[in-house]
Amino acid sequence: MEEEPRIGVYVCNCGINIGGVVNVDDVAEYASKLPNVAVARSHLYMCSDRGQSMIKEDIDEFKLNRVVVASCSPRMHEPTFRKVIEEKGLNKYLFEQANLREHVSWVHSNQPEKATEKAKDLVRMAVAKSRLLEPLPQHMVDVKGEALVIGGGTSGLSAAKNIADRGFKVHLVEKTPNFGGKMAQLYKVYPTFDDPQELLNPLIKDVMEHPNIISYLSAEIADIEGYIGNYRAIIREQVEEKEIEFGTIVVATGYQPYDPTGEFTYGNHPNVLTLLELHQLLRDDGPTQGNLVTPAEGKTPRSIAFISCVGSRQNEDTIPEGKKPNKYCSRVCCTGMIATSMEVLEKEPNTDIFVLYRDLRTHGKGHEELFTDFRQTGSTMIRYTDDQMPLVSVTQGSEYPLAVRSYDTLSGMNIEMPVDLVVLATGMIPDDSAAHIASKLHITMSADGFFQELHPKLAPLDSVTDGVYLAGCTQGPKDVPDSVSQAFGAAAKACSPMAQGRVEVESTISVINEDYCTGCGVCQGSCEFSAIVFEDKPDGKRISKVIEALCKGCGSCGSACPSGAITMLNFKDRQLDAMVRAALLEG
Amino acid sequence: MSEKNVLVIGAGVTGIQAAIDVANQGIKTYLVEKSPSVGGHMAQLDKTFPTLDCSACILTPKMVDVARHPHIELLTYSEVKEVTGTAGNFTAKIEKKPRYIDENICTGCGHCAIHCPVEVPSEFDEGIGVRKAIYVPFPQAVPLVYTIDKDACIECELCQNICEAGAVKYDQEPEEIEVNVGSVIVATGYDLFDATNLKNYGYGVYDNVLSSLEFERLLSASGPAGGHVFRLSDGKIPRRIAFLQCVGSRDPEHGMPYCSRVCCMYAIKNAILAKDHIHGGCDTTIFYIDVRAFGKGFDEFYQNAQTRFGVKFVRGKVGEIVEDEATKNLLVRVENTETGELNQEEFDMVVLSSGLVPSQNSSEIGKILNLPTDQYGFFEEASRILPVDTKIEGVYMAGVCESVKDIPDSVGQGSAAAMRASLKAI
Amino acid sequence: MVEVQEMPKEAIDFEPKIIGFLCNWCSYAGADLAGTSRVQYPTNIRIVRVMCTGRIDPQLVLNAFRYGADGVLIAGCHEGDCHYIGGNFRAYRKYLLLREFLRKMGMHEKRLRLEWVSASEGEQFGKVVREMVDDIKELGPSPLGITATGGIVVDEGEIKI
Repeated sequence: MEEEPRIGVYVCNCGINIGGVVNVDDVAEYASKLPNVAVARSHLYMCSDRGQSMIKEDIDEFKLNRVVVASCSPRMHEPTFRKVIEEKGLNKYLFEQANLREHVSWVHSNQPEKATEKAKDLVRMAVAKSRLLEPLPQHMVDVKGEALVIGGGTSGLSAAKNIADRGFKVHLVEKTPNFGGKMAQLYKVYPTFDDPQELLNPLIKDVMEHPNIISYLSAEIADIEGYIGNYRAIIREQVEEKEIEFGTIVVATGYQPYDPTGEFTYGNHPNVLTLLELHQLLRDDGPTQGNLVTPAEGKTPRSIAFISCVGSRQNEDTIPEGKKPNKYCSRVCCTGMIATSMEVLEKEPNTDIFVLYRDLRTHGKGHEELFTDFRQTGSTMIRYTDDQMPLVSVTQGSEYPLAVRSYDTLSGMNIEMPVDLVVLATGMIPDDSAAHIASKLHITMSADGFFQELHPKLAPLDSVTDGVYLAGCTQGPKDVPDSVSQAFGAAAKACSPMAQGRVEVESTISVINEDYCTGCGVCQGSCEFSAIVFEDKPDGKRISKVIEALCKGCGSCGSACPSGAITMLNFKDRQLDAMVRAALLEG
Repeated sequence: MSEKNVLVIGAGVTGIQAAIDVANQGIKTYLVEKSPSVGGHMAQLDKTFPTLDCSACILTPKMVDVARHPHIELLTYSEVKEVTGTAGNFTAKIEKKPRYIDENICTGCGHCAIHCPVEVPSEFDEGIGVRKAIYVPFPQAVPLVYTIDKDACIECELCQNICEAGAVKYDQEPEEIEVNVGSVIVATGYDLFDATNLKNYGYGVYDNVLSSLEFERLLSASGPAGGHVFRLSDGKIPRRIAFLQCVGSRDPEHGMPYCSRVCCMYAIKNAILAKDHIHGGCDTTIFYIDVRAFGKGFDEFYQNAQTRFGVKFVRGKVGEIVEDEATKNLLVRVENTETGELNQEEFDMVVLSSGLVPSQNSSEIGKILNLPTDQYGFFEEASRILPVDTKIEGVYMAGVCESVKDIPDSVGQGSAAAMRASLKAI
Repeated sequence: MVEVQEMPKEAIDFEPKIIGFLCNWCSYAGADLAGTSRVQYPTNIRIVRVMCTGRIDPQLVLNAFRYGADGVLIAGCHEGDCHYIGGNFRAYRKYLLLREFLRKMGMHEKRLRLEWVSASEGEQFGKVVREMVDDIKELGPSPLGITATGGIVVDEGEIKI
């Protein structure tokens, strides 16, 4: 930049979130005295309309060419403020944000003086970087109007159909021989007791006949590469391989049921089943033609115990050796358990039903009413806590093959139930294809192992990678209506860049200084995204060159380069060094 | 630009998301909001569960987006009066109510409000705080334009004299706008269950029994207490707060049979925030039937509330609250179903985790659009696998007007409705 | 034979200055989570955000010590979770080299710390900062003092190389 930096500094109170600990006015006063700062102000909410207008007015009045906002995390509002300065004709990269909330006021709540000093340091650091910021050109890429949907269950089907209806071609890849996923395996869906086939078959037919959808069954994704708008993948259908190109991806890999082997005698006795396995027994096309009979004896069960939270809400003390606890709730099992009990009573009204639960989570639309109906059946409910897990044992010489023992926290009694069947309401775990997909698409998992959304409230359907969206249980356990809602939503997200035809990508990429580059190629080896290649110059020199659209701006190349020829725009060595200097040497 | 447009009714977080997702596809969207600002109930919250994000902080960028989006026409302080036609070709009549302020001139500076002599209870602050007759509902309102409440206004004309921009226009008339759209999205949200009918809880009678939204406003930094929680009876800091669950919900006799789904989580969140905001400590107890911490990160949040923050949980639905006339403290009577004992404990403040019911606005819009509802007033879905389609083709729904749900699910449904609506607008 | 000597401990209320290089996707988000969870930790750290720890040129770290940092924290994603796939592994390789080099400069290895902190590990981040501040308080100020020009100054003690 030839022109002298003229920096505007804005220190936010964020209500009392920052101002309650940090002396925000002090910090603004301090900032106003820093070299190149033309104006420094404090405000109640910088992100509000008023705050944003203030910046715009100052850009005009003080001829600002750099803006620093000291407020919440840049991960929250950096895009907001970048847009503000853009509207005033400033390149959006001439903005820097200092984090005074997540990194200061919220973590040093009882140290207001030190927090204020730290705030001043962070502002000084941001100002130091902002002096060296440069405008960066905007990079647009074309977006191909085709989508890849991974997974042909309810979510994948719903997303594919809507994207296709919208006018874009869809490649729908399913690893099993059939569409329908886990929902197709159920006996009924609740609380409406709908037949899943009746709901799914029209959708599957629509998808298979849709002119815009190419279906791949018994197929897997052998390889994917690219970036938003420009992906290429190889789909392997049994032995045949096909290469496809597309612009966006919807991940709908769903879930798999938790395997409770080793818990509650599952695997040791055939009469201990999971809820899904019970559904198979209830189905007319199941192994017993819909007759509810015990696997071991082939007789109608006289009593059944359902145990909830198997594989969910675990902690280190309650799980078998060597397993990692699933701390989350699987959201659908309580309703599934209650509803299936009622199905059992419908088929065999004389069955004694015991429901062992921790919290009864019948929370969805119509679910509580179902639970109210269930309570009229006279079945027994036993509330246990995880410090005293129910015990299931195989009996010896008793009339009943299994016995369940549990402490009921409401009656204060230890209860023993002789039962013919034990049904475990097992939770959901991520599908085993998820890890493979994650590594190919560079998307991350949350602590619970399901795919992580970009932001739980602001972007629940976006993955952390542009152009890749999440639908259904791949993101976390949920029931059919919620999965479908998510699938429609993910479809909308995918259609957005495709409808626009082009989209902006990262500008903060690597640049190679041609004069310094010796063509050693070390950078190429360090690039995971194959974004650097050799280029032969007209003067015969061979140097490295960055393919801009592939570059993610991670900087591995820059720190590898022995000649110091590479730097990362907006995170240049001298910009970062200036921040470190400002933190330690100045102030 | 596509040829057809989409109408979104309701600009809470759900309607906002729906409008953004439709507009991002290059489709012109009309976003109509009855109140003077977008934001809905989410703008009233202090923090959201389970991440404890500042609600306004995550909502305001979207609010600003919607006001600035090139393909969104934002019509606030406006009501949909009539909708005729069929999918692909609806005609909607929208009435823009007079603010008595020229939107294009008002800078939102606020001098008018400083000088306005009339104070009335603020709806945004659930009646705990006050606003002037000329007001914006909250500081981050979008659009940041003042409105005169004609019912409260005494016509002293101080505001007109004070306003440097000359934005006050007493003679403004309602404006009728007609728009033609291919599809409609309804996102009219919820109201909080009115606990006044639960005589045993004393809501509306005892000063220190609050609804959850009232408590949110006390917690909020931009609320009437600046984020400091105090008792409405005497201004003292409450050191013992009781949170009662299933107020109105799971209660066929006095309220609704259904579960309101979000109350367990919001009570846990509010209990944690009470401890965080009240200097010098505060004991919080949640009286529950089942703790429904079912979503992503919810159970972990629930565990943390017990282990890290020390929130107490007592399993029992509170039978009765009795006020001590002298101190205005509250005696909470409950059967602890885990121990079988009948307990009586004194608290400084009681917060009722009231359930969510379809809003009055939902009911009105439902009649205008002839939308079938279930027995509670939530709009009925076309089928189990078309959860955001209403029974009327071309009309979609999202958020709590369809059924109770939290913010992530509402936002997700907003996007879902956008997808469905866009198919009728291309 | 390289002899490493640490500086004598100075006044009890020595407050270490720590520079933290945090990656945008994991550790910076983890530090943000520490904030939203109200995890409390000492004020000694100053965070510089980078997109990936792989980006951290050893020169940046060395400069930090030159300018007077008593400690440097590099915090990135867990193995296998790097948003750019392998940047954190590269950071680890550089860390090992740096650690050796710094040891020869007379710096205790606890002054340079590499941690994997994920976006959901707010508690962990607070813990790391607390530990590091405690460790460096034990060690005392960095033996590499500073001058106004940013050059290396040898203090009263000795650095034998």
